[in-house]
Amino acid sequence: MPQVKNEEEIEGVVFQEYDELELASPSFLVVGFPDAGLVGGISISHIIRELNPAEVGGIDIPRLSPPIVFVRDGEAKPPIKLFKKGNMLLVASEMPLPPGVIQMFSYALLEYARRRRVDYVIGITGLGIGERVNKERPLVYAAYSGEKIKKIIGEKKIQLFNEGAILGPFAIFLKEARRFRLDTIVLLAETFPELPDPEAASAAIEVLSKIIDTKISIEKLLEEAEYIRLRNKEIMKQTARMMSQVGKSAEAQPSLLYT
Amino acid sequence: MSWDDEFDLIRSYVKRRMRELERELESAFNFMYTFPLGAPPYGPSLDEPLHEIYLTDKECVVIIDVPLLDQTSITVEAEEGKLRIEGRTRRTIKANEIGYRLMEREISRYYKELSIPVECNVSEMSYSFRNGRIVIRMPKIEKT
Repeated sequence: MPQVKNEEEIEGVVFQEYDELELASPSFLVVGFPDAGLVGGISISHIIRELNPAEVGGIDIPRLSPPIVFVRDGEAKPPIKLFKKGNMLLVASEMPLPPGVIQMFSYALLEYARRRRVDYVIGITGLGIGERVNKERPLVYAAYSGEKIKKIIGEKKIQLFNEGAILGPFAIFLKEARRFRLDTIVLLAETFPELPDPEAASAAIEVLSKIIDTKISIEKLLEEAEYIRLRNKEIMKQTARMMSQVGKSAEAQPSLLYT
Repeated sequence: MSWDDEFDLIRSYVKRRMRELERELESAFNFMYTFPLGAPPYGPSLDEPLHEIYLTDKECVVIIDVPLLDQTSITVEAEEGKLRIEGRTRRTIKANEIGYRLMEREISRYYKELSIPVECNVSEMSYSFRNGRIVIRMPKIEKT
């Protein structure tokens, strides 16, 4: 494992930092997990490739079964990685979150963001809809919590997620953001629920670029979309099994209260 | 046998049952913390594409994800509630090119067989190919 300078355990989740971690203001924590269409995972992976951020830490969930580490060039690293570029901290997960750790992980990440004085938490996820098959360019919607981010959404003319439920870690981010004094936005890109969808990820990245005022090219992502889909077939299957346990497919359905 | 012995027996029985119950509960909820390393022991099936089925009021839409497929090689057939899709990739792709390690395998064709979930008029089936995805549309048979 890389040399750890700072280690904190929050809610049973271990955060390790390989260097001093200071973020300039306004600071962003950008989070994406493998979920519907692998939108979050593909987006984060592309941002890392484009911006070349420094790997500054890792996150481990000791309760996860089977115990897992990822090895690159012989070196073992935690399954979730932390990258930093300027005022942005990226959380990159190589695996979908099992339902039993979603709660502890989400609360721990919010607390970690608070301790690191993050201003905005940005989640990137897929909104699985059947209609995606008829759309060349998927739309991206935003759900938010907090006045500062509301202002940014208005200024950047980002389309709002009008009505529906959000499930999984981003539900906790949105619900609890105020308690942790964090402004949160979740970007939901229309996607094929159970097929990897780099085009949806590219649409989400375009909206993210606007929010963080940083140009992120999506050219390579679209060029290599078919390779990316082929490469991520197995993780999509594993993710689909996880999503069925969380009930992720319910996000696009109408809600009971329509007042 | 004294009363104490009787109580000891009951105590040990209750303890044993509690341990069994704990084990049962643990295994029942174990999936909650388990990362699904779901590939079969002989490795993932590289030539079987992912698919999704989308039902509208009037039709059944099947989307087959076939990245790098040669458009001219597509075969789509339907009979007796089954759909069969076949095709060649534009070139042979080695497993290590797409991130698989320690695996001497390659993909040169796709093959998929699946059940059509609702009654459809397969004689009016049509398909299109775009961005490495085959989209098959079949009108649903309306029940009177």
